[in-house]
Amino acid sequence: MTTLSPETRAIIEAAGDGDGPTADERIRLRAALVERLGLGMAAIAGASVAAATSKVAAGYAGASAAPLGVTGTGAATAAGAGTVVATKAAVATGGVSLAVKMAGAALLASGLAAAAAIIAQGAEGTSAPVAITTAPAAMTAMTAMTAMTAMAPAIEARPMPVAAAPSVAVEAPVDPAAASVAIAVSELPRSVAPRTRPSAVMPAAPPPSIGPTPKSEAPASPGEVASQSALLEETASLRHAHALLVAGDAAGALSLLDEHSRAFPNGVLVEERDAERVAALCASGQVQRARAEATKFIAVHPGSALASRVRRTCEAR
Amino acid sequence: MEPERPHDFLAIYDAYVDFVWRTVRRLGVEAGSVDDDDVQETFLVVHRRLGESHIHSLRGWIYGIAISVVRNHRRTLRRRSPHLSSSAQAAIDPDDLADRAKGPFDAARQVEATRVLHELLAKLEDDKREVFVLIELEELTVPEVAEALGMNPNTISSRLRLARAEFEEAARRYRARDEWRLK
Repeated sequence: MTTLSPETRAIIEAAGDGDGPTADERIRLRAALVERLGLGMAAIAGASVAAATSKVAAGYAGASAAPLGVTGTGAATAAGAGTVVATKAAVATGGVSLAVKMAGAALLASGLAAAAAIIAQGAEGTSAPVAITTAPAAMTAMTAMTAMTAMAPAIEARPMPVAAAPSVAVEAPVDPAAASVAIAVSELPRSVAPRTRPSAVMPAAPPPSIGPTPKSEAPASPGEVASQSALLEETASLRHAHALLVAGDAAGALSLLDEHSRAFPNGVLVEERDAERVAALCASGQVQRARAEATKFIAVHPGSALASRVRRTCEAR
Repeated sequence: MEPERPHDFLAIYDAYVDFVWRTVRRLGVEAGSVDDDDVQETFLVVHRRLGESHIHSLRGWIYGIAISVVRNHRRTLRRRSPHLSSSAQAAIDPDDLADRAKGPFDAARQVEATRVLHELLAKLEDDKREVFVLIELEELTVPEVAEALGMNPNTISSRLRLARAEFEEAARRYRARDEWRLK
């Protein structure tokens, strides 16, 4: 049976225990259960036994759950007892779990480095000539970045699992991807990461790779290659339209977007294209049409991450 | 096992709450309104059924219960709004993340990673997502899952194969889109 590719596995690893409960949630639910099931007194009496057994049980709760499971369990059990001792225990456990968590964070970081490589590999998977053309595109995109933020572009430049520290950019082997990661860093929540000017990060990126890079995976099947090149074409076309829009040629962008719609009616980037169209219409002064397209966008892609951006696109006019 | 002794139940709670919590959230991604009440509901059922004698894998058994709770919830939601968007996501607040000791930067990164995971899981059909979450994310074995779901191991294996392929495809598309967005 085939297993997941390392790239995909990295996505899962990056999420880590993000779906687990916080210590507070764990304790609150425990208290709620004790109350609903009328376990009150007995629960307090059994708390220490529970602490002992639960550690054993956590042992077979699965390797991934184990480290945090054990420390978290201690905190929850202690709080269940509802005494002053409980608070102390929770504090003490907090100290232990911090160490565990730091180890976890280190693991996470290495996972992210791997994830950065994914993006790079994505670019690598393309044939060499395409890689060359994408590289300058990435450069212009970077200079265009400032203009883009001012223009409220339809693209949601959002942080992704890979958007880590600049060190990730250094580790990423292929240029376009490395540049992407660098931009991602500058786009992280501002309160957390100070905006890094792309120019400051750029020199760190290695020169574009021209020849094919050795790949560790098995070669892609012909079907996969075909769909990948279609995707590249789709991406390139949309990128072109976006470049025109950023450069101020809204009409040119619109006609390219229409072409894109005809060529890739069921493409991967339908959402992005539709959002781009709203922005282009708005930029060309066709506010009515832009609003109509925006309404349509929200109806067709209600859960889209771009929805709020699209909604705001024409507001200023 | 003596279900009448509350600390047995609480020991199970302590050992499995993280597992159930994660699982309920991941299985419910597509509902868009994952309800943490489902976690409580799962443990109420666990408590009620703890005396059952046929429990071989406690983990698998608890997972089976969590699945049926989530399925019920989903049915109720679908009855209420049949046009439920498959991509509707419950917003994740960084403060809700399990591991806040990591600091705001890492927390934000993990929120994003978790959001991506949910987006990809939401693309799988319910039955495939169940098998995928259990085996790929929780590292249960095929026989354990077969027992939890009361199904033939062969069926589980073929479902897993399909789920993996679909998840791979979704991840591939995600990477492509992401690359475009970031330029």
